[in-house]
Amino acid sequence: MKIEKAENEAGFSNEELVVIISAAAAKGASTRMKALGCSMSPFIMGGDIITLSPLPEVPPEKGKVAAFTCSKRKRLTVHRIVKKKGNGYLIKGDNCGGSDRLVPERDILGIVSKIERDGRIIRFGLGRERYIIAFLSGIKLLPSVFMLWRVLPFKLRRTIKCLIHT
Amino acid sequence: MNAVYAPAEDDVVARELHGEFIIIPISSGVGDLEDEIFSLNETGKAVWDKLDGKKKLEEVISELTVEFEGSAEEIRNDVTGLVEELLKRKIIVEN
Repeated sequence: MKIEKAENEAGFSNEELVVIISAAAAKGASTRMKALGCSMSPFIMGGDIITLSPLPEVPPEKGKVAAFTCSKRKRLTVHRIVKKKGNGYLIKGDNCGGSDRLVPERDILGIVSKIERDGRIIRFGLGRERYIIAFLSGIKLLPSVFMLWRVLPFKLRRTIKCLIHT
Repeated sequence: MNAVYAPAEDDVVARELHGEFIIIPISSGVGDLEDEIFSLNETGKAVWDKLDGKKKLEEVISELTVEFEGSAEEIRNDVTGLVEELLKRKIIVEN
């Protein structure tokens, strides 16, 4: 009869994460968890710590990064809202080719409100620039922009980031 | 022993996952999967289920003495130890 620190080295399964995030959201709480994969690279990298805020505290809007689940498979995915379409949202990974699908609002579990990488808070990708990212993603130009971004001098990239955040 | 305890409903997410009863504390509105997560074994879960905000601790101990093997003294010590631990971690509250 005891309480123990749970060993969670292998991490929770996708289905378990859906259960936990939904349960926390039902209490109006956010969930802080590790991101996996590279479908949102470079804005969210595998190993980054993301905080998912529940709806309606943070409403889903164009450019925001949403955690959603497919009703049938209960698989958790964290991708960007490219546009609102009818009663749903067209959602796409920043580093993916095609769109995920039209996701109804009921399948959105939370919105990424914070990204931490190596102890630093990463703001780029969640601010006003998210509208541009969503637009470029929607017209499938984002990969080309990434390539161009990588060859820009560091100082110029930093200046652009500062301009966006002021 | 007349105290009544209940899960701190707004401050924890408690779920049975892959056969393990997991408790995730919610601190400052965040359930942190990168911080401390707790688990209860089978008997611990039985105690948890009985801490319903209605039963006195004495009643909980009496019921568990019937349901589980072991001396009444042993069960009493185990239950009070667990309750103290849960209280310390703010996972349950006194009603």
